Amino acid sequence: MFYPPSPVNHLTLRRPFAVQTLRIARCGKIIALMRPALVLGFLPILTVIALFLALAAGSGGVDFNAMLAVLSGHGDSMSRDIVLDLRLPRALNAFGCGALLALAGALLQALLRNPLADPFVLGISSGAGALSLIAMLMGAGVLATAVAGFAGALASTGILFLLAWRGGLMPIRLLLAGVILSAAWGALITLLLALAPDAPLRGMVFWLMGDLAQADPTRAWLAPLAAFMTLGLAFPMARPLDALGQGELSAAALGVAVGRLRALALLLAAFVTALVVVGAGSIGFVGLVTPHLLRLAGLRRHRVLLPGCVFAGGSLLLLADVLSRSVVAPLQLPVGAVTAALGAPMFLWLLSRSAKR
Amino acid sequence: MTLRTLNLTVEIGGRTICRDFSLAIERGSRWAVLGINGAGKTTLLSTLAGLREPAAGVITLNNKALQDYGPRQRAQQIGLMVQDDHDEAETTVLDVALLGRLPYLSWWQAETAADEAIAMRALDAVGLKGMETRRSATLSGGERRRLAIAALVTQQVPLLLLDEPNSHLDLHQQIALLDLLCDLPERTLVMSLHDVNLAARYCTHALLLFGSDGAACGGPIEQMLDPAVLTKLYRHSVIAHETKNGRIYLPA
Repeated sequence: MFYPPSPVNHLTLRRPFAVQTLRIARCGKIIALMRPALVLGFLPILTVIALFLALAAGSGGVDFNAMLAVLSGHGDSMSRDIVLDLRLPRALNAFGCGALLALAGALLQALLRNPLADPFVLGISSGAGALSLIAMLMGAGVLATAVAGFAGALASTGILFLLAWRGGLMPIRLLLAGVILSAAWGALITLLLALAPDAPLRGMVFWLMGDLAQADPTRAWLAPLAAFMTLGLAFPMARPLDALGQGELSAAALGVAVGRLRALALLLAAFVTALVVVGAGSIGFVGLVTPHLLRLAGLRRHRVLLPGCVFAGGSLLLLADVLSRSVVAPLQLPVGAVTAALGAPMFLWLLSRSAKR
Repeated sequence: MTLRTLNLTVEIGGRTICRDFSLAIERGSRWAVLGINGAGKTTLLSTLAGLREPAAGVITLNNKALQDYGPRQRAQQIGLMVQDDHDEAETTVLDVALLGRLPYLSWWQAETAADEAIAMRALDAVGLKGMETRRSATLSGGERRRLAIAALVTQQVPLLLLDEPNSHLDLHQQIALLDLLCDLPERTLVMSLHDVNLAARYCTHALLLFGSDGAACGGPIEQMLDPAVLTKLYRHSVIAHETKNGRIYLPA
C-alpha cells in the first residue's frame, strides 16, 4: 500500500538540506564580497616573495642563505656587493617599472574603454624609444638619452592630443591616431637599427627589448617611488573611471567631468610610460595583462584595481626578471622577451576565456 | 523641484530639434517625450540633463539656471538613464548600483554602510535582491534596465530623465518596469517612449517633437494625444479606438 509522506517527515528530511544550501549560498556571497579585500591583501605578500626570489636568484654564487645573511647585516663583502649593489637596485627598478606599466595599462583601458589598450598601443613608448635610439646613435650619455626619450614621449602625446581632441578626447580617434603613430615610430626605429653601425647595435636592440640592468644603485628607489606617487595621483580618478565604464553619457550624468578625466588619465599614462621606457626600455605585455588578471581575480573597481596593479605589475616584472636571469644563466635574456613569451600565451588564454563567457 | 525651459532652442548637426520652446515640468508629473526616430528625443533629454549646451534659451532647475550648477550638484538633482548602456568594466550588480552614490562622495571617501544600504534597498525595489555579486554583464536585457533604475534610485534624485526605458523588453517586462517607475515616490519622470498607448497609460503630460523646423509642443496628455496631432507627429494616419479599458491608438 502506498502512503504519501507525512508533512512532518517531509519537512524534517528537506529542511536541513534547504538550510544547508542557504548557508552555502550565503557563505559564497560573503566570500564573493570579501574577495577583492582578500586578493588585495595577498598581493603585497606576493611582492615580498618575488623580491626575495629576485635577490636570491642569479649567477653570482649568492644563494638564499647568503642573501638572508646580507639582509640581516652579515655576509661577506662580495655577497653584499652582489645583493645590495647589483640585485637590489635591479629588483627595485623591476618592481617600479612593472607597477608603472600596469597602472598605465589600467588607466588606458578605462580611458579608451578598450580591453586591448596598453601603454604601447598609443605610440607613446615608440616615440620615447625612437628618440632615445637617435640619442644613443649620436653617442649621448645616459642623461641625454633619458631627456631624448622624454621628449619623444611628450611629442607623441602632443600629436595624439592634436589628432584626437574635438572639444574633448575622442576615444576612437585617439586609438586610431595611436596605432598609426606607433606604426610610424616603429618604421623609424627599424630604419635606425638598419643604419646603425655594429658597435652600438647590440646595446640598442637589447635596450629595445627591455633592459633592467641599467638600474643605478643610487637612484634605484626612484621607480618604486614614482609608482606610489602615480597611484596617489590616479586614485582620485578611480570612482569616475568606474562610472566611465558605464558609458560616457552615464558618467557625465553622475557628475563626472568626462573630458577633463580623459585628458588627465592620458597625460598621467603618457608620463608614466615615458618614465618606464627611459628607465628600462620597451617592456611589453605587463601593462596589458596585469589589469586583466586582476579583474579576473575580482578586482574590478578601480579603487582596488589601481593599488592591485602596483603590487601585481611589480611582482610580475620581478618574476620575469628572475626568469630572464636564471633560465640560461650566466647569460641574461632581455626581460621584454620574457614578458612577451609569458604574456602572449596568457593573453590568448584570457581572450579564449572571455570568448567562452 | 521644477524644471523650466525658456525659449529653448536645441540643435544637433545643423538640425533644429526644438525652437523657442518653453515649458514647465512640475514636481511629481510624468512626461512622455514622443516623436519619430531621429526627431531628437535623446538630444533633448541630454540637454534637459545639462549635458549639452542649448543653442539658445535657458533651462532652470528650481529657478536657478542649469549651467550654474556644478556637475556634482546637478547629479544630485537630475538622473539620466541612457538608451544603450553596457558595462565595459564588467563590475558586479552591487557595484553598478553603488555608482549612484558618486555625486555624494568625495574622491577619498569609501562608500559607507549607509550607502550600501541605500543601494541594497534599491536593488530590492527593482527585484534584483540576491544578485548583488553577479557580474552585470551576465544580466538579461530586462534585468539590465532594472539595474539602471536601481542606480537611479540609489542616486536619490527628484528628477529622472529616461531614454526609452522599455527598449528591448517584452510586453510583460515593459509593463513591470513602467509600473515600477511610476510607483517611485516623489519622483518627476521625463521619458522618451515609442508606444503612444504606454504614454497614455502611464504619463500625465506629453512633449511632442515633430522633427521638422524645430516644431515642438507640450502639455497635458489628454490634449496632446489627439489623433490629428499624432498623425502629424508620426507622418502616418493614427486613429483612436474607445474600449472599455480606455482609449487606444492604432495606425490606420
